[in-house]
Amino acid sequence: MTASTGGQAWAAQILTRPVPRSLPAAGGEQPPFRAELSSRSHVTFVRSPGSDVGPRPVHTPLTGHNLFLDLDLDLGGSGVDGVTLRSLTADEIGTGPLLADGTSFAMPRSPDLILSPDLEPVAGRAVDAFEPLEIPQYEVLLLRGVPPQARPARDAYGRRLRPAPAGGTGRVVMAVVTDEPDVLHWRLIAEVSQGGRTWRLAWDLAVTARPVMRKFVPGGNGPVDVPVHERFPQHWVPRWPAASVPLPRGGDDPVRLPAVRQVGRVVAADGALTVTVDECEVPQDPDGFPGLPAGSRLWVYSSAGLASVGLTEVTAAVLRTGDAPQDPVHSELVDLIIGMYSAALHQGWRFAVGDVLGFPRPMVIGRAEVAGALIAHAAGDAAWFPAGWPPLLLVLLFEGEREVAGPHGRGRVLGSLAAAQGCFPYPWWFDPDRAPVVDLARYEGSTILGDVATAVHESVLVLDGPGEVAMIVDGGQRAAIAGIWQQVPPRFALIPRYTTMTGRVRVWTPGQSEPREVVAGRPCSRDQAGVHFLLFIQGGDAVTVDQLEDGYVVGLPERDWHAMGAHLRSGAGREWVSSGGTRLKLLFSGG
Amino acid sequence: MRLVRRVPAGRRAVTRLALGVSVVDEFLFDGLEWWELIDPADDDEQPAAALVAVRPGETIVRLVGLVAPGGRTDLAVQVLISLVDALRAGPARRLVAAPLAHGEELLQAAGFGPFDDGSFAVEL
Repeated sequence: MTASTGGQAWAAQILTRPVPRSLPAAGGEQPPFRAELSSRSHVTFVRSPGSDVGPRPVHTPLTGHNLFLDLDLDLGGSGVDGVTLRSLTADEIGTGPLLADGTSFAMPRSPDLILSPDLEPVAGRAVDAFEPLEIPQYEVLLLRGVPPQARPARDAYGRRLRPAPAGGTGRVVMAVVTDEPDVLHWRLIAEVSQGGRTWRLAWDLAVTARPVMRKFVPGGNGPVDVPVHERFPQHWVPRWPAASVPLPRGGDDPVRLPAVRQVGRVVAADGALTVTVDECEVPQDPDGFPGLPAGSRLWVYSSAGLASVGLTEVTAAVLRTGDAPQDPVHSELVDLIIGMYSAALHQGWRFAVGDVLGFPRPMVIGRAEVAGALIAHAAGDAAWFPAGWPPLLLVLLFEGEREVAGPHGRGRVLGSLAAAQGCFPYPWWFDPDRAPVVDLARYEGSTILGDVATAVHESVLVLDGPGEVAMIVDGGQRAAIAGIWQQVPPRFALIPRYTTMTGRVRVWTPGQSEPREVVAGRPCSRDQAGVHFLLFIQGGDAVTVDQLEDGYVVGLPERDWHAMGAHLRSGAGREWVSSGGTRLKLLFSGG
Repeated sequence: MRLVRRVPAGRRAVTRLALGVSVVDEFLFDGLEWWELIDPADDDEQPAAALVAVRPGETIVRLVGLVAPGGRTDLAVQVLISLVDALRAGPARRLVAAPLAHGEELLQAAGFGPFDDGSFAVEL
């Protein structure tokens, strides 16, 4: 490959560049908080300093690059009040020709071949300074023929990928996407309020989608342009279709920032692992903290260092109650995180979303005896989860909850927790005074899943809606699901992942006779909800689909049973219509 | 000829001591099963050559520790190969190890390699 414009340079020792504000604050008054924007791109077009450029080189980043908006409190000790990011909007200013003297590349590792010894130290410095791009909280879409959008970043299923920012030092991470082959000049406008006032802050920026590489293929028909994300895969490509999600304008998606202060820090494993304890106080207007009254205090435990042993960093939060110990550091939660590190280091254990840890002896928090933990997304499903804390969440469980979460899936327990604590899709804190959401004695004699073999699989989603049930299998995992289907007994329950994409999930507790659901503050669907099991029974003369508890019982005659297996293997969708008229859809996503 | 058996309750302490096994992971997993590689001709005081752990109902086994004279990589590889052979007689489908703890070169010599899920393992 070669650079398509000018020469190339390994001069990207500084990947993150500050961007000066373009508009003064109203009335010339500076806001009482820090609001700084910086840009990070793994490749930029560079114009050298000169009479028409100025004393510094001008970098034009490529589509998919990061923007960081850092918001900070600076109240001179006069007290702490929440800063609210009211809105983010993008406006196009215009397009212009791309003028460049070269390209600047980020280097994650040393190149295999360096033609001149002079370039070795330069390449070395670039490698040392390499910084990965971050998964964004917001996408800024600047696409031709579509109005500019700044919207929450979502995956192909429409789930938020990363929480909106919160915390005393809030960082908003954005990805800027364009299809403009020349230079697109645009303006980012952030409305930030604090103490009853709102500041409108603006920055002028530029971005291009000009291919930075060309590929020459032997025997081909000349060079082929290579999109930036093929060569620099961390450059963002939106997966959720444009215009599917409305703009978060005018305070539509406000995020309250809680007051946070560090109250403890444990360094373990010869410095390789740090567990930080932050005290987080829920602000007066707790929009982002459903289920928690203002003034509530939480201790939030965050790891830093699990990544060095191949794990994803985790966090866990405990609501402070009257019985809470005064020393946050001497908590078994710290031991738990150190234990995870040790298990990965010494025995190669891995922990992923959906895993249930069962503690051999209870962990005592306040008066509560915690029997286990469920690993869930901290970001993603839980849009309000504070930024800057790790992406995996340890949801602490009582004994009955742990017993159910293992064989019957995390969805049933998380849905019940969401209903009990008024927080969709699930509370991210543990309240030591809360009642268990599973009464094991009542549960075991009530649920239809009690004597059924189950297969829990995170790559299956199940949604119900009026007259239909959709089973959506991740296409990349269909072979695994087909393999399971081949081995299951003629009566078994498939337990999908906790399906929250529509903002509605079914919930069930023993004794409940009518279907019930727990709903997000702003659900994406009026009538589709995630369900927690499909109990398949082989036999009978006709397909049956019956709602029961928080799932469905599906009867499949033998030929349909085998057809299901065949479709799972082939990846071709299929629809069955039950004798009662309910449709069972088998769909495949991605892969 | 070595074989793998469940660690008898009375031998747990001996096994742990001999292998210098960290016990902190027991904090995480209720019902973790421990299996040891032994020579049936040895007496009960002889520590196991290797120890593995498995969660109930799972087919992925974790290497916890192995014993070999200091510096004798060749003997450590032999122990690992014996362990893999012995495990193949059972229901386990994969043996996972930690390169940071046991040494990547040693593990590779015994047939271990990286898997898509990020683990370092050998199929059984």
